[in-house]
Amino acid sequence: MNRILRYLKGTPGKGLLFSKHGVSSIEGYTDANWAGDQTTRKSTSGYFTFVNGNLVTWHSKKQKVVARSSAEAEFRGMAHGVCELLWIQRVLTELGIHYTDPMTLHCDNKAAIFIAHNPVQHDRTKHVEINRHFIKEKLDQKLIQFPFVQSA
Amino acid sequence: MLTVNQLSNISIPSNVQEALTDPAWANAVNEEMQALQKNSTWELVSLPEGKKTIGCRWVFTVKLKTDGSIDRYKARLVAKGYTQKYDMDYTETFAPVAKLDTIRILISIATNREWPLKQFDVKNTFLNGDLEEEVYMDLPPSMQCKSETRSKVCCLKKSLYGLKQSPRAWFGRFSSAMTAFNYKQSNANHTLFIKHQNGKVTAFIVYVNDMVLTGDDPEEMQLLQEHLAAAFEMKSPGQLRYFLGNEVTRSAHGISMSQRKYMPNLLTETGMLACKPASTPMDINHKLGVFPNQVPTDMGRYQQLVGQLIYLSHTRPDIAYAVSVVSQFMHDLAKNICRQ
Repeated sequence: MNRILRYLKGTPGKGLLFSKHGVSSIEGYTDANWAGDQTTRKSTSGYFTFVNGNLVTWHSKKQKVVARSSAEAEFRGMAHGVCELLWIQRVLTELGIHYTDPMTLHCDNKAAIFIAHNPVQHDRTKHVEINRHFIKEKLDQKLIQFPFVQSA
Repeated sequence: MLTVNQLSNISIPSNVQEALTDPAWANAVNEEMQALQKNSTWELVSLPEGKKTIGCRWVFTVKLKTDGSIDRYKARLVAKGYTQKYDMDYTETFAPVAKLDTIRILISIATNREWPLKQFDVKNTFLNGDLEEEVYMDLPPSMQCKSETRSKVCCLKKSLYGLKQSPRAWFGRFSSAMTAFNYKQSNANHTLFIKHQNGKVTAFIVYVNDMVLTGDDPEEMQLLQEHLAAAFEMKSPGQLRYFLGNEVTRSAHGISMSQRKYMPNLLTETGMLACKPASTPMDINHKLGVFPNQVPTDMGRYQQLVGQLIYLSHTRPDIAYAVSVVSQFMHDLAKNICRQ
């Protein structure tokens, strides 16, 4: 807690800058920390989203259920990110702003991306069925695409 | 925001009798009473049998300008809403408020399309709400001494500050006004009102009495401004500067949003003003979890501080993760987390 306050002390003027990037897109990034909680072994996942190159929403939260693999943790995070992107798209549609390209959600876990694309039910992912169907459906509707990013 | 200590040379009256002896405060009380009468907030009636009244009191504050000098003395009559009983005095209390996410989306669009951002403010916001329930209130303390009104009570027609249902009554009134101007309530966020017209769009977002207007239709924006001024008593609108304590500044580079002024207050309050700055909000190898032998610390203070940090993270995504970690221990925390 004190660390946060000390950090804030060092960075008092920080804020958000919205500027013109000349791009029109909705993008998101997700990542997850598998089994990061030492006591409950629950994972933490987060996402952040950009509209026209400006950061608009972000989120970081411990997942409610235990993930059995890092891919599963990432996958849950992706599902949250997809929801957020869909919400943003809805707001923009209501404002009369339409994007023709699918929204992009960047993710650094290849396994999770493969699961998203692959209709086959794996033994190790059959328990994440709802999220899987949800993501697959959005992929098939060409609402979303998942490029891979190298983790740092 | 200045604290009471810094204002020690101005005395804030503790009751209305005291206030009426000072011309500045007496004036503020009169102003509020006039606003209440103008809005026909209540009718004087004899209390029907079997009904109970709720109390009310005066609240006095000094409003300051941004440079710290006195802006005005403000007196507000508030109902003691905490004495209201569910189902008897009120039923529904939910009122939607804008998500800051939506505001940021609007700002992002406004930047890219170079839309203007305008700010609106309604005076005496809650007094505009129509009250559906039958609520009786005691006479305001300033009216009790008059003999002709002694046996009467106030039957409230409009929502008053402090009532449980006030925010809802206000939002209901406001959204019906917006619908009357052919604005559509957004499904993604109920406090966002949108109008499409001749291929142009106007968007209006409301957070109780903080309102932001943007769009690419200047004529419609002007019209809406006139409509609203006719329906409600408005302060003169201007460029968007503050929204819920977020400072908004527009420059050639774009629009920046920050809570710069909130930070010194937070650091002063926590006694961290002289601390050593850290380069990251968190230890890289921190371990989460509940450890044995932890000494409990002041829970209320901790929860309050987390709340302040959550508010601050509206413009500080860099602390979002650290804040999410500290807020996992709101119910059961120990000293070493506080030290982390």
